[in-house]
Amino acid sequence: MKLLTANFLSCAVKACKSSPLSFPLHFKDAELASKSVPYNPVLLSNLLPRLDWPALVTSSKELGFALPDSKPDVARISTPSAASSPSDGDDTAMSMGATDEDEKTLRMLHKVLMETEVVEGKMVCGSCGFEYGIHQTVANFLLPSHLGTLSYHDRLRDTGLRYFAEDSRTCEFKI
Amino acid sequence: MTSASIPPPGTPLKLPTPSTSHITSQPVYPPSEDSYLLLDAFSLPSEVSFISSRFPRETPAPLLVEIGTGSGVVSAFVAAHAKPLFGRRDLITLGLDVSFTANTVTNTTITKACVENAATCATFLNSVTSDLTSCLRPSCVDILIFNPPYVPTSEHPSLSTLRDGTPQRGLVNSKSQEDYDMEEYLLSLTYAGGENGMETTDRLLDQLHNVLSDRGVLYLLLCAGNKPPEVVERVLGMGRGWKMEEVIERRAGYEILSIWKIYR
Repeated sequence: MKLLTANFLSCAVKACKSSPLSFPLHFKDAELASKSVPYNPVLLSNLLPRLDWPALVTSSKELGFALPDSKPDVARISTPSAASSPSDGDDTAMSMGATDEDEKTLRMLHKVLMETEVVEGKMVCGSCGFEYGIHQTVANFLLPSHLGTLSYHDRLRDTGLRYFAEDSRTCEFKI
Repeated sequence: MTSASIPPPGTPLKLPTPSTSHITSQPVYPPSEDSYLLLDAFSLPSEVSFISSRFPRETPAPLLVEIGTGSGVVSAFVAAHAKPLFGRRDLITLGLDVSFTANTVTNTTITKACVENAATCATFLNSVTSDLTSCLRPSCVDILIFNPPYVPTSEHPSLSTLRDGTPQRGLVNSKSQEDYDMEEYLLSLTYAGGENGMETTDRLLDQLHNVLSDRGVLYLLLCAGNKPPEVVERVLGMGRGWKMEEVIERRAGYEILSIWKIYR
């Protein structure tokens, strides 16, 4: 799991979704690896506006990286308008417009957000305490049945009850 | 006002299909007619222009998510060919599947395809084991792709085996009866859709307003047995300006498959 991915995940328990404590999930017992990813400054500069920076700072700290307290003010790098042909190559060449300062920031972000991979470990919800395992970089967000939101059909099946369940498909409830 | 629209004439892009030669005996849904129909839908000039006008370059980088990646061929195709398909390379992608084996296979499929198409590819982040999009922050998905278990079946397999069982392992070259049983179960999850083949798709539609961003769009595969006109009625009935339009349709053996886009 890349550090960047954690910025898009929150606790799968339905009641936690609205709790500010369910995001970001907190890394625990993380084994890290550095995985080489092609540098894409256009992507990074266009991602920054949509990232939750305080959450990123928290996640980074948990993995031993220090990001600046406030979101870096990096100018948006755009691809030249002539770049409509699919074969115009690498966007890296188009970061020439970035200042040295921005370039340094983007390289640092690339290393922390894109190339830091949690191979094994856990992510813990600050609201309910549930621990999501990470194994071979893949996080497991399948909740046990007693925490997951089951459809009415699933619940009837799992409890062995037989009701006349017509028109119930849209009826969901949490256990 | 119904929703079916016929794509305007134009030559679809011809882009190479990602390799899945690393899939040998893993219990994942192999690239099939329905997968290829999704690839063809994204290659239509009408969709290329729809997506590039919906996600102009000067807007923040879009997040693309596929639910039920299986072999990973669909995600690998759109990630590898992001530039010609979406007009930009600054996309990030995530793959979601209930099967750990599918997720590890998908990681390989997408990574390989992106290495082979380094000049045009998006950035693939990770695969996550998840029931639909339950792992995601609300309202963050810009492009959502779902090839659901759509076959109408009398039984709809429950996820409780995966939820409550021992942690999943990667399955390949299974030898034990226990592994065979798990393989059979995982394969049933790839196609069995329960009543009208819609039980899983209905759960996604229920949550869709909490999944997609304001500019988000879902690409959904249906078969004739799912009764597409009823699905259209249902989506339009969700109000809030939801639209559902047919992108492409094809007969595949005894099935009629179609791809639809759903957006606000």
